[in-house]
Amino acid sequence: MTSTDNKLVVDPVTRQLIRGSLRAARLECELLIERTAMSAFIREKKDYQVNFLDRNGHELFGDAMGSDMLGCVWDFYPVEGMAPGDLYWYNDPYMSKGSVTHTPDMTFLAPVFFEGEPVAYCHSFAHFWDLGGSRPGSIGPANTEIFHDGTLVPPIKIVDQGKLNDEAYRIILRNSRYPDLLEGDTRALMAAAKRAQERLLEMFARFGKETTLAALDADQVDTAKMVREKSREIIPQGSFSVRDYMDHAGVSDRWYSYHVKLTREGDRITLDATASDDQADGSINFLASDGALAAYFGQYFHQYDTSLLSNHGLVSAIDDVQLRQGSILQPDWPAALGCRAHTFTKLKSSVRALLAEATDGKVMAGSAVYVIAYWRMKDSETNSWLLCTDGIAVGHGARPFADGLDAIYSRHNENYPGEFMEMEYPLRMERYAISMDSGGPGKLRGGCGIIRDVRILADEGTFGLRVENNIFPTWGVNGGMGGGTSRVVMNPGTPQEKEIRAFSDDNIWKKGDLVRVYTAGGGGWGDPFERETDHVLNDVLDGFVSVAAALESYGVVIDSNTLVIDERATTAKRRELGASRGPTKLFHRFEYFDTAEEELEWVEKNIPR
Amino acid sequence: MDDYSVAVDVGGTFTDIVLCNLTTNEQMVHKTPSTPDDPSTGFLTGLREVLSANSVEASQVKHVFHGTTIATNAILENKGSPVGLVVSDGFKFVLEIGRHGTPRQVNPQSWVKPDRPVRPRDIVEVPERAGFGGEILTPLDEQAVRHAARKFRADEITSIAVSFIHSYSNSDHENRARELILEEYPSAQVSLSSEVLAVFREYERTMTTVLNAYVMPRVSSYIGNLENSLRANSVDSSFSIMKSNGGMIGAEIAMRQPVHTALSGPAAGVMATLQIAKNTSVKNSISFDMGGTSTDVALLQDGNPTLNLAGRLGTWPIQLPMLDIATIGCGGGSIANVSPYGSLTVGPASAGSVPGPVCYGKGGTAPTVTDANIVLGRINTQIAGGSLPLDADAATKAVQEKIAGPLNMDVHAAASGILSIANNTMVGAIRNVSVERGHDPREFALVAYGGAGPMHAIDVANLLGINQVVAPLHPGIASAYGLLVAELKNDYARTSLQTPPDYDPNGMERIYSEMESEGRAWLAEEGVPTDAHVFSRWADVRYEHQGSEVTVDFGSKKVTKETIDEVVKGFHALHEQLYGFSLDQPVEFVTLRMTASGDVGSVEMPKRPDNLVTPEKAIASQRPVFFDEAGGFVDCNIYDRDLLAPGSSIDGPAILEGMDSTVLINPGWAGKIDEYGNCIMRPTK
Repeated sequence: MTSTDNKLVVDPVTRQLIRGSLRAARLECELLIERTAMSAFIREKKDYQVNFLDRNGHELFGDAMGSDMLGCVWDFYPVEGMAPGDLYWYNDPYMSKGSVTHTPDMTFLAPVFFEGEPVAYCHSFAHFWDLGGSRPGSIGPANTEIFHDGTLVPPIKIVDQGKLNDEAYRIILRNSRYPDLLEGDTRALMAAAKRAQERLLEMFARFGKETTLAALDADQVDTAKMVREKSREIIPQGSFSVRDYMDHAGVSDRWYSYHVKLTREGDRITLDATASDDQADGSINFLASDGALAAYFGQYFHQYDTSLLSNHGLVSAIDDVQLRQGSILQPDWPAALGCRAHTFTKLKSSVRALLAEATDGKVMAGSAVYVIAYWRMKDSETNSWLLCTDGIAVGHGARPFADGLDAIYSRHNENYPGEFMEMEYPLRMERYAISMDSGGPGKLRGGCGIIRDVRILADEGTFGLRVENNIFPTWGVNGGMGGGTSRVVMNPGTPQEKEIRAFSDDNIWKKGDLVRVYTAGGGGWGDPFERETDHVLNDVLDGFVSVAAALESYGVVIDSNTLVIDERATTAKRRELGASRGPTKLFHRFEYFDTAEEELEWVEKNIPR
Repeated sequence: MDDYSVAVDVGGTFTDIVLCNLTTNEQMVHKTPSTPDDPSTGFLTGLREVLSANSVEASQVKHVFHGTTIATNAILENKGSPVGLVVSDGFKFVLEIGRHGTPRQVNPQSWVKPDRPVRPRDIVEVPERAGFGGEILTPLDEQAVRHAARKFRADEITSIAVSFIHSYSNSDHENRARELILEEYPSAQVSLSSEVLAVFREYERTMTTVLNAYVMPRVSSYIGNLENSLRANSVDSSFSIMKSNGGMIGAEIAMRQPVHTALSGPAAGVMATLQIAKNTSVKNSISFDMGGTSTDVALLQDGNPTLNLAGRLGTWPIQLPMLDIATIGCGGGSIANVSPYGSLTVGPASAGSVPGPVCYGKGGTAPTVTDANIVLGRINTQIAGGSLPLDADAATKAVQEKIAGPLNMDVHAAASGILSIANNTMVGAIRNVSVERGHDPREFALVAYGGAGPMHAIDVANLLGINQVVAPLHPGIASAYGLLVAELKNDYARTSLQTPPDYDPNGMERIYSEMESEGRAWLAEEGVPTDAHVFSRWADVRYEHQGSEVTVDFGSKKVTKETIDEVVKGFHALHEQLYGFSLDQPVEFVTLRMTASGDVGSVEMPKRPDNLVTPEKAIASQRPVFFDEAGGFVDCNIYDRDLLAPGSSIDGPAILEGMDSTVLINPGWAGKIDEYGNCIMRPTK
């Protein structure tokens, strides 16, 4: 019996106390992971989460990915057989129907037993360093099958009523190139799941079972109500569609695109992504779970009342999602999925593009896809490989109320300090800077990407690069222009200078070689000729915009010696440039355009597949 | 003629002063309005007032101890001085990029990056580079440094920070850069990262150094002026400032390293807790300092406060050893609100002191925690000694209209709910400093102070299962007491990565000895006799590949293979306690730390006089007070705290009203007054 049947109404104070308990428990368990995990990807880059699920597997509080984290466990371990002290483990994207989106995201799930029955579930997950597979780091641009992406763990019971399943554990550890890291990370995640379970038990004991369950259900109802009402307030009747483009899939040169159509008919809002391209030959396929696309919309509407929990209610913004089996958003087994972030990061921007159409451009412009470099060095003494998986920041889209964020990875994830990298690896970081002019011009400027120079000190090594937006930049909106593209060069400014394919693997470097990564910028918002001239000057003084770009992109005339604005010349220049440009359109990337079809036509003509 | 010490704690509203007779240990308390535009005015006025009220000559004052929020406010309110920064080639944007993340709790679509204390245009790169072991890879380009100094001089930027990559392991280039800058620009104030914070992670070290430079002109002129004024007023005493680690430092070093005073105010309160806990024989305690806009909590184990090495102030990291104080944006002025979709929240928005809670009648319309306390009869509407009466009707009306009405609740249930939610937030903060650090709060006593602390303490204790609450005699001026009881203390740190099996005991011993010599020189400079010098060694240790270190006590042991083994064993045990597991994997030493301390003129808390009365004779009035656990209003005796003799026992529900705060004894609890006037409360069952 669920509490919606028994209609127990919980008072607002208790409701808020229960929300507070969930928030505090999550914070505490996530800090535990951060402080104890071993691989730098988790502890420095902070790629981890703790989420709570209700009895049905619906998210109570977490990052609301719209996924069913529990279903695949129940497929093997029906709820009747679960017991206190059990802990389940999996990472299999296909068995979990896209709830886990690529193999490194190891998931641990613990039932919370109160008064003899499971009342909730906790799960901890983090991006692990290496699970075997084709190369150190497991996933990468060159993979074409899920088997290349490292060990698949189907749902298993790794702890049975408090007792570790040592046989299974040893098999999984044995398959990693760095078993110590894998052990340290798994122990951290298991400890976090256990602590989360203890905290939830305390919560049930404090407020009582029926009250707590009723409050948790009511939280989902409230969040659902909010996103439904807000989405219907903002999205008018009609159909809107967007298309975005992935540079390529890693193994061939052709580009891929997806297409999402949003339709409002009466009170019903649906998404149709069936016109997306067929699945890619490389690793950019995104196995979207049932709720994923709907959750992206829900996340956008959540900003209207953040005192409500981010939970399963967020998927309620959308009534139906249509995906096509065999497409880039629903690939057939056993397609590689490692670099799916290229696709889903763009999809999250595309949610805003759809809303831009619905609101005449009153949303944030496109953000660049975050960058990962796999720096691999061979230790010539032991003949073993060292791996540094380096997350690198990009520029984000400008907002109607503020410039885009410069040099942010995606959210709270953090970079490796240069001093840390040099201490741990035979690498030297020689430059870490803002990439000038990479932010899309606009009345509000898109965020700038960065420049990172890394030199190898070991005798030899290889590197893989997951750098997107090399061919297709971010889009600007409401007159704002697209952002700058990314680029990778080896040994710049020397006779050995060499352009490196931005999305590639198995690049060879030898002692002393230097790789420079330029990351892409975010799109701009609003007409750049309307940007306040002193904001343009400040950007020039601080190294975000060059004197030349101030002139060409913003029409602001700045003396390159005195760094003073010539206001009269600026007025004239802006008039002249505005006249030759003509009116702006809703979107800009390469050119101004109003619809996805208009852009596709341009792309097909100018950038053949 | 007797000698005296004076402690001056400058808060947002009042400047609190305690004058202590060093012969009789008699202590006199005084409050004077703060003067935020120039806090030294209130400081000096209060000092003159307290001396004349007690007929003490300025020349009798031997020690002046001071807690200041000058650095804190400059950083939190972005009101520091212009700073120039010199960095290694390639790292001009080290502050702008930071750690390339947003704060964990924010929505990246709406979050705006805060302006850095230094703009990129004021950051100059110079060719130079060291490796992580301190080896020089590129020599310092001296001309480039001179050029930077001349640029800053031309731009009239007087405070200059220098932060070079890996300078924690070789400070030669930074030291030389300072010489060059001062040659070109003799009046500049220079902060070196290798002096402010000699540990790895370039963003955090650079930011801490920049913040030091950012507050240096203000703090140094403030302290310098104060010192001159003291001398002009014939006060020829020592002058010490509380720093964030809970120790005192001389004015001279506070002027050079002002960022160390970032938590000066709250640290003093924690040091008072230490003394209160000692006097009441409490081994483990949690300090609970609830004020108008925020609440500070800290944990003291075995009488010692814990240090945080990865702290923040506002937006910025300050990775100096600071008392591990968790601050939450919830206090008496926190505003209660009903969100568009019906959730009841309290804080972090605050009514502050202007307009303040609705009951102040200064134009506030949003109901606050203080208003909820008024609605429930917990605060006297005629604040003892207070100038203006509080408007209970307006508070009730606001809670009714803004909270109870929209949620369809009874106004008292709504007010009680506001308190429950605020208290729950406090519980979260206390869990932060206890459970998350591997401690069970039930084994701790709650020491409650600040204007609102003793009013909320038992509710908070009930939620945490804590069975002892201590409210000192003057909860409102605990920080000033803390200044009187603290000792001189300074911290030193060097990053030196030690990986097994190649630990280098001799090298580690050398680093400790170097830090000890520095500490010895400093203590001598502060006038501490050699036999009173105390040194303790610490080390930040982790499993190989971990990114967070655990600080373990090295005691005063000499570094040998054997003592290293002992410390490693202690680390495994500590890791198990903190996180629930330990590993059979190699252990690294990352940073070596040393604390130098010495006592000068700290005093004991005074005992209560003999002429006080039993509880029956101290009843001032009666009024109904709402308690959730009693199901509504109950008639309560209101006691005049200043009259209560040691040994008095009072059963809850009851209220003790004193000059500067209200102590609430809930039903099911009883309070007992000890010889220092502390009210020690325990559950009756």
